[in-house]
Amino acid sequence: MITQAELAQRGIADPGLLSIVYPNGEASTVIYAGKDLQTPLFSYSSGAFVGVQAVETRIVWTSVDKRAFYEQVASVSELLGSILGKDFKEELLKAILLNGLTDSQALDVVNTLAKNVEWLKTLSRGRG
Amino acid sequence: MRVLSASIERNELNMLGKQNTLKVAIANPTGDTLTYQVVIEAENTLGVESIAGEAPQAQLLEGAVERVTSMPVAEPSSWLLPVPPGGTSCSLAFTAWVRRTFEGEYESRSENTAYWPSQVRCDFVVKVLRNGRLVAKQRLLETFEGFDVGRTIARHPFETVGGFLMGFASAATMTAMWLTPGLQPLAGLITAVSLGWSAMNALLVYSQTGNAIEALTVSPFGVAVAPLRALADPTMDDSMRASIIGALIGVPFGAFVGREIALDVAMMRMPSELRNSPEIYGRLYKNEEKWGTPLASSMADSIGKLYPYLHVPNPEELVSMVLDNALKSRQQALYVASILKWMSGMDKGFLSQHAGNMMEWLASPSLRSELSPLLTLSPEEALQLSQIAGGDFVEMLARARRLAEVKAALEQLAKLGPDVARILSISNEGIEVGVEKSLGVKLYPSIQKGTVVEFEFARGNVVIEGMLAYAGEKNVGEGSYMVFAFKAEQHTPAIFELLKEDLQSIKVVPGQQVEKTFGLNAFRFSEGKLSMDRGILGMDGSIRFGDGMVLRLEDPSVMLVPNENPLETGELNKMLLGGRIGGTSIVVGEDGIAKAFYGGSYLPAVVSASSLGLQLGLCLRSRAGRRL
Repeated sequence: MITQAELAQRGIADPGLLSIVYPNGEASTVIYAGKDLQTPLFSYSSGAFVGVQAVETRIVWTSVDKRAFYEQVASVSELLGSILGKDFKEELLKAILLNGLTDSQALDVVNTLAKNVEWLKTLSRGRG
Repeated sequence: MRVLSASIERNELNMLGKQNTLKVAIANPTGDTLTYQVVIEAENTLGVESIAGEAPQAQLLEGAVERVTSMPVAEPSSWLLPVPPGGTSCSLAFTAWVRRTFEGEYESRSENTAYWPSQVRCDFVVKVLRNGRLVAKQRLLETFEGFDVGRTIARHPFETVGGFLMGFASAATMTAMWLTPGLQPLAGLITAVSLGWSAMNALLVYSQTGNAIEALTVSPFGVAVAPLRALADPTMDDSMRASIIGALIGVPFGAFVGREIALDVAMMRMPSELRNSPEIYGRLYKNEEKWGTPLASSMADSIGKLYPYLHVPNPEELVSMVLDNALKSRQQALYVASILKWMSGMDKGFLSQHAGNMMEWLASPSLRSELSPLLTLSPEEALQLSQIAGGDFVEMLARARRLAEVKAALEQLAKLGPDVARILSISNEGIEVGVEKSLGVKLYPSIQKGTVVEFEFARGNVVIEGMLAYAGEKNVGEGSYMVFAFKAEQHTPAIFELLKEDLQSIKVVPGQQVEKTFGLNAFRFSEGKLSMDRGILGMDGSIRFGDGMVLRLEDPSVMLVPNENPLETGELNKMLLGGRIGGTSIVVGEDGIAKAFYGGSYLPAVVSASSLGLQLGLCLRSRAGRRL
């Protein structure tokens, strides 16, 4: 966990997409929803000092609240990541946040996926 | 009806020990296929020698030879042939030998030989048998000559000449390559490949023929076996024999010519303006005439490599002056060749900076001896000195001289034994070593507290290396010592227990001041993401990156920490470089991974570098926020 205050000290205050780099060069893409940041420890169970870099998204903002938007995207991506793996989660975030969708289009995609979680679970079992 | 018709077709040289052909035609009047045995036997003997009667009784030891019988034989001498209705004809290969049977009182032995001083008359009888019963026989009288190497070669002049040329050319080429500096690795490779190839071929021959002697002829041992076989084995293929004997004659000539052309080969590899310059090649030939081909070839090879880096007004004249110096005495020639060879092994960047200066000094009778300390430096050391001296040649030479003096002093120290340095105290917490001050000040003239020096602790066959930091001076008894220490803190390495057992038997050899640089895995922000960029961290806390950017750690320091397995690694401790980034302490080990201090211990850390400076990553903790 990295606290909101620590991120703010590094100039990261707004919700958005973050790239986390670990000492061994491993990287992870996570959503920052404006609170304390939860991010995987990987092999660093004792903790580590990680590089944090904001990644510019291409969401076209209309009227949706940014924090609520990112919280929704984060929760669904975490859920799907736990079912289909880290790679799927990363690809999902890139697809939703970096392709010039409007905020409502992106939420539609995310919500559709969330509604079909059970079907995706079945699909993932069949794939395995 | 005639059952058997036989004839012998002798080998073209009509010699014993070489293959002949027995042609047989056998009739079969029955309606079935019958199996016949064809046998060829010689009925005559060539001579019987009684030895026993002529030898003194004292020599008639048990088992001594009493009688020698010589008779012609054919090998093989028996074949089984299926003969279809009506009959068949076939050719059967055999070799004629003289069999000498040595009979003793208790045992006898026999051997086949092809060497016989006169013609050998063979009264052959060819028999056809069926179920052991004689069906037909025919007499064939033949004569054979004794085996003669000279005649076999004479019959294969082209192969002999071919072998000669091959032996000559390959020996000349290989000799020239072995004597030409820079080509030895290639010559070695060719030799190794040839040996490997011949070993592989030998296995192939053996697997196909099952004949170990044939296999040995083409194996790496073939170098020795083939000539022996060529001279002594009549069954060997004569064209191969002629080739080998031709090569035997050609190799010494080739080696002689190879020695003669080695310098020319080395000169061929020089830039054209040098090898076509009478001033240069004339002096090289003079050097060859006076000091021999290897030395002159070495000079030619080195000069060829250095020449492109001689950024001076008249490089040819400079090279001529250097070669003139080499002509003065053998010692001078060896010195010049050594310096040239050392230079030619250096890094391109180093040569671009210093090759001109070095050649000028080498050409100068008063300055050339100043270059000798360079010979004690490895290419890496020379490059490091050049960098420390900022590319200043004179400064670099001064440092090289100093380093050479230190190395000489260290060698002298090593010979002096344990008295110059000794363990002053040792406990579970640390070790303290004293170096006799009179020698220490020569070795470490400008040493400051905290400077790290390498030491070697030897006890019998166990040698442990350790780094100790200079802690000041101390008087112990009559002696005055420079003290070097290592604190192991709470650790109690087993090595200390070992060292404590018998302090008197431990030899302590002081080494050089430690100058280390560590790779540091730093991250750079580029194209929207962080990527790893390895910087070089020096003991002064500076971090140099490939693009020339230099950043610094705050409060740089050197830390010595105990090695967890000193007996396995042979190293008492290891060095960490420390400092601070944004107020947080970090250390970097030889693995290049930075660790930052948090909550009582060091955690792996991302350090990012930009033109704004170094930045430590954010501390990632467990979800509960507990100290992990």
